[in-house]
Amino acid sequence: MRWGIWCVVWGVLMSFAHNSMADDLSYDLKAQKVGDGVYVFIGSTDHFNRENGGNIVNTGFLIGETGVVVIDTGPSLKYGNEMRAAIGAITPKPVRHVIITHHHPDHFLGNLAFDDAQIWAMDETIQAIDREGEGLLENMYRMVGDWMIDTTLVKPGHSINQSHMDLSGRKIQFMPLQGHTKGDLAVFDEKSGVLFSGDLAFHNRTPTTPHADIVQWMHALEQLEKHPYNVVVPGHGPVERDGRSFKQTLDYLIWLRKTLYQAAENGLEMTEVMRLDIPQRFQSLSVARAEFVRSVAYLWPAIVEETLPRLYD
Amino acid sequence: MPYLFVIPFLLTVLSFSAQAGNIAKDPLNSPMWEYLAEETFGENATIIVDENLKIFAPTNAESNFQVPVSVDASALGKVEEIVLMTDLNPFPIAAHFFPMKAKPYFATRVKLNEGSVIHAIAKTPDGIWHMNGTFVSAQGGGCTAGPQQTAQADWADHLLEAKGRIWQRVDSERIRLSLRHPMDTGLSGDVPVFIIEEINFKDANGLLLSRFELKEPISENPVLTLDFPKGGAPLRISGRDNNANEFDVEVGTR
Repeated sequence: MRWGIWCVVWGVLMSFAHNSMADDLSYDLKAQKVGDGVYVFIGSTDHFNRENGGNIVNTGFLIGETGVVVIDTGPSLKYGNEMRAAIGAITPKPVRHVIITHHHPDHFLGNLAFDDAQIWAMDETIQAIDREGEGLLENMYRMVGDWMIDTTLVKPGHSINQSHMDLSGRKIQFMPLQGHTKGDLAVFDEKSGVLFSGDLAFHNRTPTTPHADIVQWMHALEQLEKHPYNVVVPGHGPVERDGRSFKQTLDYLIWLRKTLYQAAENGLEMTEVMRLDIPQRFQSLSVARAEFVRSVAYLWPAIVEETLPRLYD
Repeated sequence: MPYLFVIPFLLTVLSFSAQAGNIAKDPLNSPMWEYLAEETFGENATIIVDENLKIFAPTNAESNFQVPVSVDASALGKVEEIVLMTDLNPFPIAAHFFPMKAKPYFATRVKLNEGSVIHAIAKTPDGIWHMNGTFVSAQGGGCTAGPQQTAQADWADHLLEAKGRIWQRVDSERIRLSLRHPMDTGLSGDVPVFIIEEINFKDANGLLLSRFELKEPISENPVLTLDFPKGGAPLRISGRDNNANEFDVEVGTR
């Protein structure tokens, strides 16, 4: 009997603690206007942690005649909800469409906040979410904790297989590319000339490579550089207007690839490679050493297998 | 008069030897250290913490199945054996390395079941074990999928195929060996333990130069890097797994 009372008291106390903790968390999203009817939310350039709650990403939205088109939904339900509230403060039009650029957790785990809208993505992205979504979600709970409360996996239900679409009265051009992952969608708004590169472009932030094919990524960047635009919204880091995020990302990828192959040719082992010097121009990028070490972890084993000669009797 | 100084010294030595062994505490507070140390080296072993023994692994294991680790005991002088211990793995011992003619240095990759201290313990000819460690947090940072253990489907067609090369370095010949093998721990599904157990490095006359014994935590398709004194190439490398599949290859300087 006593135990029962204590359990109730404890439960009530814990529920207060739980609520107050969850209530304290806010991404404090501020929409930044980058074109006529085009807004973005610029995240931090750090790693996922319990201070930023996973808001390390850029998302955005376009206001059309009949509704709003959202591009990427952030790392959690909470982010998606806050995004929706921030959009509502700018326009009364309903969110009708969501476009997901690729399958990384900071770009689509806010989908649940938009499950009344049509969610669009490339087939490659939908398949990758099928394959890895649960693992990505679990890992996000591990890394940022309470910020993820109630977040569940919502898979895009609509597959993008045309190059142009009219969504809510906005003419949108899709560029299906790959390299950062197996499906990277760049999204171009024709009216404003704003180009959302997804994670094909990083700006003042070291690129991440867990699903990368560096050569394909370099080709994708060449195509993006050729495309006309007024504004580039990179996947991470500040908005820019002269293509510097493309150049910076390409410069890093070329250096990374050359450095790893050179190290393999010179017989270095993996932990030596992780400790190699990083050139001055990349040291100023956010999380340079940590991302270089991660890239070695992802890319090095295949390079060793590719470059080591077969041995025989 | 000098005897007065000797007495405290003798007392120290006596109290020292009266203890059952002398296993240093782990500065990284790995919860398994003392138990594993006693189990592996015996309760009478003398183990000291020694910063001259270098061990390096990344602070984060991006893939739990390929965590690189290197150990360099060169600063200890002559070393008879190096043990690699992944404390919180179900099978903690990852390798026994007997450098013999090789530099007391190796680099390889291990599997980690969870975040864990990795210890290197090196034995010098005076019988003392020198220990150092590093903590690796498991599961990755951003954009990281939870890893899935999937041995390459075609492993049976390529079992114990070897790749390798020797590099001439300033003061050594570096050799890297890569072998195709699933390295099954026996802990998943109905797959019994299936691991390479030994790799032997010999000179052209068949003289054993160095020996590396692998245990369950070594990654699928093991990769091993060692440094030998100059002038040893070409080398023969042979070994076998626990099902008595063998390999025997030659590696020369390109």
